Parts: sequence; C-alpha cells; structure tokens
Amino acid sequence: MILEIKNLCASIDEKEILKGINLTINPGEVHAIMGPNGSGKSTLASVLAGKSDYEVTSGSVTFKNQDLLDLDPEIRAREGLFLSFQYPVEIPGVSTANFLKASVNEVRKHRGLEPYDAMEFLKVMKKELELLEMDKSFLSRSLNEGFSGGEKKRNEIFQMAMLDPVLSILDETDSGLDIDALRIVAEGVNKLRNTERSFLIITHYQRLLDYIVPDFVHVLYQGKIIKTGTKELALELEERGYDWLKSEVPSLEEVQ
Amino acid sequence: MSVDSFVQNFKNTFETAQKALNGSSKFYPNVVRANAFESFLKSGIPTTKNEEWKYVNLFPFFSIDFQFSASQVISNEFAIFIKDSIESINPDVALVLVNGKILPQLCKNLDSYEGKILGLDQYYNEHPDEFTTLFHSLQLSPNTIFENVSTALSFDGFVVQYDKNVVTEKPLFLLNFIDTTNNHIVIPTRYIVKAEKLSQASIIEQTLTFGPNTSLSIATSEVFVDEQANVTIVKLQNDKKESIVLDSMSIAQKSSSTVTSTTVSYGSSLIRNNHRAVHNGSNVHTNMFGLAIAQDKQVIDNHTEIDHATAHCSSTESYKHILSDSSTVVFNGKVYVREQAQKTNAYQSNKTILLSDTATINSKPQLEIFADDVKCSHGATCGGIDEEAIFYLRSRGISTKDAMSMLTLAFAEDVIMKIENESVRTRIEEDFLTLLSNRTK
Ligand SMILES: Nc1ncnc2c1ncn2[C@@H]1O[C@H](COP(=O)(O)OP(=O)(O)OP(=O)(O)O)[C@@H](O)[C@H]1O
Ligand SMILES: [Mg+2]
Repeated sequence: MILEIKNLCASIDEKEILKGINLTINPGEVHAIMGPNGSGKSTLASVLAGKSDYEVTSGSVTFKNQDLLDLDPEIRAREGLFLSFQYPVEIPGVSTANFLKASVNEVRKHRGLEPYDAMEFLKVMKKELELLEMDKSFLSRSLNEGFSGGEKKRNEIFQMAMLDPVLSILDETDSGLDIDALRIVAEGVNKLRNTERSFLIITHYQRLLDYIVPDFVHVLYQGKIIKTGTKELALELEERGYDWLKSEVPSLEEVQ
Repeated sequence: MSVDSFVQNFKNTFETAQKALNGSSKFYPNVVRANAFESFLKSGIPTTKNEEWKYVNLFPFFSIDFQFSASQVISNEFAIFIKDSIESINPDVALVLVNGKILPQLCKNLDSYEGKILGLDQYYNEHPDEFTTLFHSLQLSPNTIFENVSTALSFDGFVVQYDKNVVTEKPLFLLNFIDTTNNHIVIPTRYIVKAEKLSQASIIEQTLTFGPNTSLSIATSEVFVDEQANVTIVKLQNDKKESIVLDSMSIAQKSSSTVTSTTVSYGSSLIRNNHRAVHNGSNVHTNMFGLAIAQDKQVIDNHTEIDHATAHCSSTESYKHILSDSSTVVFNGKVYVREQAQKTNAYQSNKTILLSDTATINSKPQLEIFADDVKCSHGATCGGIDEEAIFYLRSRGISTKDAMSMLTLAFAEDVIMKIENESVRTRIEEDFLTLLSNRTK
C-alpha cells in the first residue's frame, strides 16, 4: 500500500476535528472523499501534507512504509506526496517559473535525478502547460497573485504534473473551474493515472467523478469516515444529500 | 579614546590644512570650509538628545581612535584589492577615489564620458557665481552636522557637471576605496552634481574598505537638477563590517525634472543616511527608494526628507527593511507640503520584515501638510514572513530556509528592480541570498 491511516485524531486550538480516521490507499487507486462543509476534509489533507497548525493527538499514518507524521512537509513532498490546495496562497514577488524550478529540482535531487538546467526545465514546463491549455504568461507572473479562482486551481494541477507525485491529494480542485477547465484538469489527472500513482480526491460534486472515475468513495462526517462505497455512492449522495446517512448512523454521537 | 579625540583630530587636521593654504584663506571656497569647520566645532557629535539622532547612539562607534590623514602610499596589497574590486564591478565609466582623493590613473573612460569632473576650487574659478549659489547652499539647516566635516575638509571635493542637453549612456561608478591598514581612518568626501537643463545622468556610488581597522566614511553631496533633467542615483552600501557610513545627499530640483534615488544598505556596522530633496518648480518628480537588510548588531538609519515647496509636483517614496538578530533599523520619512504647494501628490510607504524578536525597528513617517488641495498618503507595515506562504513552498519540496530566502527576496524585489543597472542588481540579489542562507535558523 501507499498510504495507511489508522485511527487518526487531530485537533486545532484544542478543538478536535478528526476523530479516528481509517483509510488505506493502494498503488494505482483513486479514492474520493465527500462530505458536508466543515466535516474535516481539508483538515485531513492538511495533516497529511504536514501543516503544523494541527496537532495529531493519536493514530498513525504510514506513507511508503515510513511514518509520515515524522517527516517535514518538504520531505513528504520530495517523497512524492502532493496536495492541491483548496485555497492556494498568493505569493507576490516570487515568479511561478522560478518557484517551480526550485521545487522541481529539490524533488529531483531527492530522487537521485539530475536537476534540470534552465533550457530543459523550460521545455518540460512548456509541454505540461500545453497539456493543461495554460498560457505561458503565467510563468513570469508572481505565484498565484491575481490569478482567478480557476487559474489558481489549474496552476495546482500544473505543479502536480511537474512534480510527478505518487500520491496526489486534490482538495476541491474542481470548485471554481469552468466546464472546459474541469475536463482539462480531469484529463490531466487521468493521464497521470497508472498502476503506481494514487489519488485522494476531495470533492462536493459527483460531476468530477464522471471524468475521474474513483475506485472508492468515502463519506467524511464530523471527523469520521461514516460510509465507504464505490462510484455509485457518489451518485446516490448527489441525489439524496447527506441527511439519510446521518440518520443511518445515529449511534455516532453515542459511540463517542 | 572618545568623541573628544575625534573632534580634536578633526581640529588638528583642519588647522594643518589651513596653514598650508598660505594666505588664500579669503578664497571663497576656503571661507565656506572655515565656516563649516566652526559650525561643526559648535555642534560636536550629536547625542541621542538630538531629535534627529534619537535612536542611534553614536558614542560607542566613536570610541575608537580615528585618524584623519591616510597614508599616500598605496601598498601592493591595497593596489591588488582595488584592481580586483574594479574588475569584479566591471564599470564602463568609473571615477575612483583612493582615501578620499581622485586617482586619475585608476579611473576608467572618464575622458570619453559625457559628464565633466572638476575640482571644487577649479569649478569656483571657472563658474564663481554658480559656485557661490550652489556649494553648501543645501546644507545650511540647523541639523547640519557631519556635512560640515565633509565641507570643512573638502580640499579634494569635486563637481560632476552635465552640460545642457547632455545625455549619458552609461552610469558613472563612483568608487571610494579606503585603506585602513595602519589605523582607523575617517575619509570625508564632498561632491556636487550639476545636471543642467535636459541632461540625463546616472551615478552609482560604492565605498570599499580594505584592511583590518575601521573606516568612517563621511560623505556629503549636493545634487542640482535643472529643468527637464533626469538624474538617477544608486547607493550600494555593502562595505565590510569594519566600516561606518554617514551619508548625506541633498537634491534640489527645478521644473519638470526627475530624480530617482535608490539606496541599498546591507554592509557596514553603522549606516546613517540623510537624504533629502527640495522642489523648486512645477512638475517635479522625486523617487526615493530604499532597502535595508540588517543582521547581527548592525544599525541602519534612513532619514529622508521630501520638501514639496512648489505646486504641481509629486514624490514616491518606498523603503523596505529586513531585520534579523539584534539589528536596529530606523526610518524617519519627512514629507513637507508647503502652503503654496497645491496639487502635490506625495506617496510614502515603509515596510518591515522582522526575522527575530531581538531586532528593533523605529519607523516614523512624518507628514507635515500645510496646503489643502493635495494627495498625500503613507503606509507602514511590520511583521514576520507569511507562515501560509512558507508552508505552501515547503509543501512543494522547498526547505524552510530556502522558502524564507525566497520570500524575503520577493519582499525586497520591487526595490531592487528599481535599479536599472543589471550587474548591480544581480550583485545585490546574490549577496542577499548569501546573507540569508548564512543566517543561523
Ligand atoms: N483554526 C481553527 N480553529 C477552530 N476551528 C477550526 C480551525 N480551522 C478549522 N476549524 C474547523 O474545523 C472544521 C473542519 O474544517 P475543514 O476545513 O477541514 O472542513 P472541510 O470538510 O474541508 O469543509 P469544506 O467542505 O467547507 O471545505 C470546521 O468546523 C472548521 O471551522
Ligand atoms: Mg475544505
């Protein structure tokens, strides 16, 4: 397996958000996580990426046979974990190209590959940009600064393609994308799909899952995965919402 | 040793020079020098009780025994240092000062340079009226202190003259080499820039100290910019730690002229800049940019003043500071808008990044507006590096240290980009990254 989350509990400012998550992802699998606002989806993604604001109070996460929680965020990235942020930050003064060159070369160095020189890098970058139908003027602009919501999301996927991760966590990458962009982004993901690479896709909409067909769909509710199914579960959620599930697990509060 | 010995050495130096004048003490430039001498003796070295020097206690810096007279002999080692430095700066045109004196054989391409360099006394002989109205005319405020030291000892002072319509292609590098091999040494420098109507010029200043002792550069300049002239001044203050810089620049601008001054400070143990511009005409524009990166116990003090004395003029001022360790940065930005200066457009901003709890920033914007139909704004920010941004970069495989460097450089970048000369820009960026990566995190 690539990722094994066992009974993960995490809190922020003493408030418990994740209340015992269990999730196993094998190489090549695509998992989708759905769930109402505030249920802890982004928290899970942040904890996996290594954001220090969250305190892991119990449980374990194993990533490629290593204790993930023990690794610094940059090491996680170099080891092949990628998070496409729900809200990518704007970084004025740092050009997208310079940032990405530093990033890609760190990752390559870690993996024992030669860093790209300026020319090679430009070539690789241009190819990925074309695949994502992005204008190369992005490269000279400050990272995410003044990017539209959709452009920021595309930029995340562009970075994902450049960094060649083994596990990509996409936190609502589909939100804010127009229909064409959604298709392009989904195609970008599908091109990367193979027996090695895995994806954890957080979304509110079943539509994305039409393009990127998941192997499993999980429902996160109040910090717990309360149901796991296949892609049909997403369709059912789209039709029925979450209420029926909430009532299906009345014991949830009692269990705690 | 003390402040008293500084004053005593200054006095002796001036009096020795005075004796050597052989009766030319009535010669007008010497009269100005003698007046400046008297003024400094009256003021002495300012204490922190002086409002203008409130945040910087000079006394510890003056506790070493500074000599005013440098050896006239250039040692082999010093000559090599000069040669190597010039080679690495690689200027097209350079005016080279060695221990305060112009050394013609080291200057580069001055003969073909569009600007003319004249000694102060020579300038007086050729243009007595101009000299009388210009020399030290901008320095006669009650706050004039070290400017008087430079002026009193301005025997090697010079004028950079740009005639009407002269448009220079290359910047003039003004390189000030100081040798401290034998003792701690004070080097006063004094110059005037006269840019006549429609002329365009660019000057890049740098002081380079050689030797184990401390140099004290007391530099005073006046920049006169006539109608429609455009002058750019870059001060690269990156000298070694065993140095102190007291730099005073006063700019006077006539109608439709533009001056852009960019001061980048990250060397020396103490840097104090007094940079001011006064407007005398309409459609004048002044840009004043500054960047300070202070580490260890460095002190960088930027005092600026923009005097909107006339109507329909504008100024843009932006200073950025990056502080770490136990450094101190002072920013005092005075903007005066006089009663008659209607339709003034003045913008000032100063932003600070604090990388340590023990660093101190004293920021004091000081806008005094006496006209009613004006647009003036100022803003100041102070904070650490954005944690969210650091996490974003780390989540892409970039180490905390590199992320900090990137974000700090990004903060500084818009000031650096104001410098037109690419080699100076690259130099600054490289030095910045080295400084930042040497920081113990
Ligand atoms: N700093 C904080 N202090 C207190 N509560 C917080 C803090 N940060 C997040 N939370 C809470 O944690 C809960 C989970 O938030 P999270 O962002 O993980 O939800 P989500 O499932 O991603 O929601 P959405 O679908 O809206 O993106 C929310 O109730 C949120 O208010
Ligand atoms: Mg979320």
